[in-house]
Amino acid sequence: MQEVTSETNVKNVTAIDQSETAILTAHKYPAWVKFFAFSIAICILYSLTFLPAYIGAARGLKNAEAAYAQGQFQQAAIQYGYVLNAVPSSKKAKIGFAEAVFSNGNPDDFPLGIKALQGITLDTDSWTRLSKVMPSEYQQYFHDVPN
Amino acid sequence: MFFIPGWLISLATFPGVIVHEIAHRFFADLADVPVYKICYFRVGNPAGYVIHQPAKTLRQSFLISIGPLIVNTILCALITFTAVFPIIYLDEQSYGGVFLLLAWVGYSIGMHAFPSNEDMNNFLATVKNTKERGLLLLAAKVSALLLQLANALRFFWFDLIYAYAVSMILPWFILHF
Repeated sequence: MQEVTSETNVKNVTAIDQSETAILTAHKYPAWVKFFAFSIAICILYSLTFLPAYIGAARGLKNAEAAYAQGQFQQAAIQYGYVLNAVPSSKKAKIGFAEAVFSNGNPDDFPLGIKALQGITLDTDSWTRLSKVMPSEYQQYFHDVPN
Repeated sequence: MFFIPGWLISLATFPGVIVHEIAHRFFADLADVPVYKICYFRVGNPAGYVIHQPAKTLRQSFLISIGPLIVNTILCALITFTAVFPIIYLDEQSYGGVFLLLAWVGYSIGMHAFPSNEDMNNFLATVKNTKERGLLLLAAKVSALLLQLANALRFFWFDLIYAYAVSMILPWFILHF
């Protein structure tokens, strides 16, 4: 009887040993495969416990971006603030918050924008966006880092 | 564009190879096609394989060939679902290792969703010899053509682009509806 191989990245078909022609029991998998699947299932269940906070933060980020696009800078800053309360290390929210604060133009809030940017590395696009709205006296606090 | 040997990609994404072979095996079992041997993963070419009796019908052959596309796509979407939020949507500066693990496993699985050219060659041999006509035959031929094209585009990282697109589906629906 001719055997058929279903393979990944095949270049050569392997010769089949006669001793390998016993039929395997259907739907029976090795213990390590079951253990692998079980481990992934546990990781998924664990990660699901973070999901409500992440979904809320992602929705907040979307609303903040929409508010910013409509020129509602104060509203955008408030929304970004909610996101940072839920997920304090979100780089997108930090950059968005600073951008919204600088765009809003209230000098009393500018230190909050600078504080949000502390310790993060900005890519060229983010820096281009920020430098358009950041007062020049604050731009001296930023320096180039090697790639 | 940079070139990385296939065996190295398979090694780095071995969970995807394992799931790809499990999917072939699972659909062969579903289609009542006896399986003789399965190699879930090895360092070499091919990285994994399933040896089974030839499929008797076009439906059986179609199921076995397309199994990884169904199973790997669904698992990629489910496993990457929670990891996409901190890593991509929110761009967190620090997140738990479990999210990195899920992203690696999920994207690896997604990258191996496409049936290989050998899978498609086996399938096309069945299509050539089949006496079946109608919608299934048409669907089979179109699928085979599209999957061969997808395999050719792997050179341009289409498998990774596909996995990324699949991973964004569930979060996109949640955020937009």
